[in-house]
Amino acid sequence: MNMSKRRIAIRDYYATEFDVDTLTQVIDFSSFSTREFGFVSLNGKFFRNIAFETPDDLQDFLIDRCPTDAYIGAVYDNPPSRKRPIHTLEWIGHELVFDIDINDYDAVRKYVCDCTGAGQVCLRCWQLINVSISLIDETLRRDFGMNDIIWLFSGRRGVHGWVRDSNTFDLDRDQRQSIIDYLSIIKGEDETARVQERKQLKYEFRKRTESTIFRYYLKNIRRKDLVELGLSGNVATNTIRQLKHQDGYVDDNLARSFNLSLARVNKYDEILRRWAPRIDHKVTIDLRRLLRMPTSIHGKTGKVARILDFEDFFDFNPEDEPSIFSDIEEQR
Amino acid sequence: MLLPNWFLLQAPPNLNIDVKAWKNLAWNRVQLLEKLPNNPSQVIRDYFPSYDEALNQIYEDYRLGAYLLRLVAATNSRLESWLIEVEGDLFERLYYDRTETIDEKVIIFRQVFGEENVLKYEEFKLRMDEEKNEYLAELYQQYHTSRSRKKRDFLLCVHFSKVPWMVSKRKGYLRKGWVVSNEASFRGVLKKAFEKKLEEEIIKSQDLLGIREDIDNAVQDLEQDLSKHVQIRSQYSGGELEGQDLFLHPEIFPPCMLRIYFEFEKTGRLVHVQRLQMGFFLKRLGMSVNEQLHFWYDKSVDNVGQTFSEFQRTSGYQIRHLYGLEGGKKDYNVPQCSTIATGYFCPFVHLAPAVLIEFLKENYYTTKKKLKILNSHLNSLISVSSSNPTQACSQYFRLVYNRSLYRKIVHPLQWTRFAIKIEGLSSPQEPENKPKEE
Ligand SMILES: [Zn+2]
Repeated sequence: MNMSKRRIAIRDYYATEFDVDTLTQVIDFSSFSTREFGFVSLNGKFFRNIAFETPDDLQDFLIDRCPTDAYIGAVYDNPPSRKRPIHTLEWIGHELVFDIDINDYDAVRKYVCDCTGAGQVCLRCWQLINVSISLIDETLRRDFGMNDIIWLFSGRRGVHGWVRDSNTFDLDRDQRQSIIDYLSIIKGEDETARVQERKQLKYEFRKRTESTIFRYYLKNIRRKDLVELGLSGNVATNTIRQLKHQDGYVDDNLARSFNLSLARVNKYDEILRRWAPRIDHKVTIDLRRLLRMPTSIHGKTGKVARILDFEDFFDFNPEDEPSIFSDIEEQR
Repeated sequence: MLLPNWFLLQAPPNLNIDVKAWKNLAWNRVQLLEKLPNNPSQVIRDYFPSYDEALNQIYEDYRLGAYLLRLVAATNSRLESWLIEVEGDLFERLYYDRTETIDEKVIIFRQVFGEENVLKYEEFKLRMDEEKNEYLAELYQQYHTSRSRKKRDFLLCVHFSKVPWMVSKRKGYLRKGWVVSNEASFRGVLKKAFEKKLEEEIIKSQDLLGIREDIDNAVQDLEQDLSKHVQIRSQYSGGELEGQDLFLHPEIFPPCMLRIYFEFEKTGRLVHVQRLQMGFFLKRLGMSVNEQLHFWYDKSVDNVGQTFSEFQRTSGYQIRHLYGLEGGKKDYNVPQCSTIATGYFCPFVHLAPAVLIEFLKENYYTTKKKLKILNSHLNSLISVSSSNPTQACSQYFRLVYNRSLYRKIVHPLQWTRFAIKIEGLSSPQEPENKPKEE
């Protein structure tokens, strides 16, 4: 696809479909003019330290310049600019954000699907992301008392969580890190990751984690997964039959008997390990981080970083998301 | 309910006082602060008698004395860090010995963490309208049945943003943004928060300087006398280290630093206080500011995509701060073990027994024989580790180096200094190493 076609597709999107006011669902417009923005231009150059006086100015800029990627940063005491870049300004605040990317699951998603490498993602491995959303969302609400949480498709192979509660806006690095620590049930990375000791997880948090993980896990299970874990063919067949019978609904009885079977082959923690949330902590604790602008275009895929609805947490399929580039391709 | 009279963070209502008398009050405070470590309970008994209205004048004098010291601290950064440390210790002791009722403790908590960030358990219960039963059953069971009840303990709620350490460690129960836990488990973070608050008060008190000549003169005089005085009696700083590039030898690091060092090597990041602890330590091992900048830049994972000069601009501040080149311009020392145990990282205090054992076995040990000796002593070591970490650490040193120590390890640099001698890393100018005392 050549540059001008991309340019037209991007311009059309920002001119006709994009509504800058939907950004109010994610960021507070009262501090709009001192917020940092960043962009990747059509020829691949990255710019930051940009601010706009009004949301309309932002939209005009998007239509005029057709950046392939658009990002939002923190709010400062003055508008960032090339003359006054962000490190010369006083930091005022940044929404509490979470970044979950399927690439951080590479060591464990082989147990779930056949995707490999950076480019691939499918409905099956996306369930790993769904578990994380579900767990993090519930824990932030119940344990941390946060109420205003939005989840976005990042446009390619992950999601971003934005917490808009005003009392989280000025949390510092250590405070944000403490939230990450609290949410992490595994320590270490990749193959060496281990589930934390039971007693380090409070009862209710542990119960929530386990029941959420097993709910998603069983919903997506195949007979061969059970055999891989070391369950006998009989138990595997029975479990699958029962699940089919109940239309994928996992009730307490089924969960209990299944957990027993898992415990017998010593694989209970292994399932938790594989399905545990993996949050990119660097994004959360970096107070000046630029994050993809909600409802903007992802330059590599042409997909919209759209806000996810509650139903999306169960059957969102990144593969099905339309790309503004493929539309153009088909039309011409 | 009133604020306990020993809590003196507010400035005195008026400063119409004879300057000479005022200086005396400050010196009285210095005396009290210096006596404290030797015999804390005695000092508290002598200086802070239990409640009696007639004693209010004493406390007003204390307030004046403490305030003048803060003014002095505002002009001298070394005195500032001294004052924060000793006042922190006094606060801790007074909180422990001189708050009688739950209400009093709650008032202190509110003073330190901020009014809106502390809830009594009853107030918290009222806020939890929905889901009430679900939440509270477990809490109730945990804290109101067994051990804690006996010790006059009670539940308290602090907003999670004020106690990140407790959130990280999942201390207490986190509900709707409140960390709910027994009062005793908040004490470490309460002291830290008090010290931070005192620092803010010291900065605030600067506003009073340069207005009244008599006050300025008093502050100046006292600053001069006190800086000589405190120099002699300043806290044990671990002594001086001699040797070349000591920071290249993790085998001479004390367990706390070694654990932090490994953690950083492995994960590429550290929580703030551990970064500080390591930074102080590397500085005292002779790392220059630039070497330290490179050390953190090379190993840190949080600076991906950052050039070294960008890193210098952003994270460099913290590192230069360690060397007293930024901010308060304090020349920091490595904190002593007792401070590390409450506010930083000590493996004997902060690691779970199983993890601690694993760590103790994995490191320093090169021979099977030594490991065998260690194994036979592990249980006794673990049993004292959390109640008496310095004893455990000293015992561990003896096991690692097969040497007896003539004094207990109370400072991380002591470990390293002894280890340097044993490992023969001292600088060549030093007199010949003494023969090993096998
Ligand atoms: Zn897949």
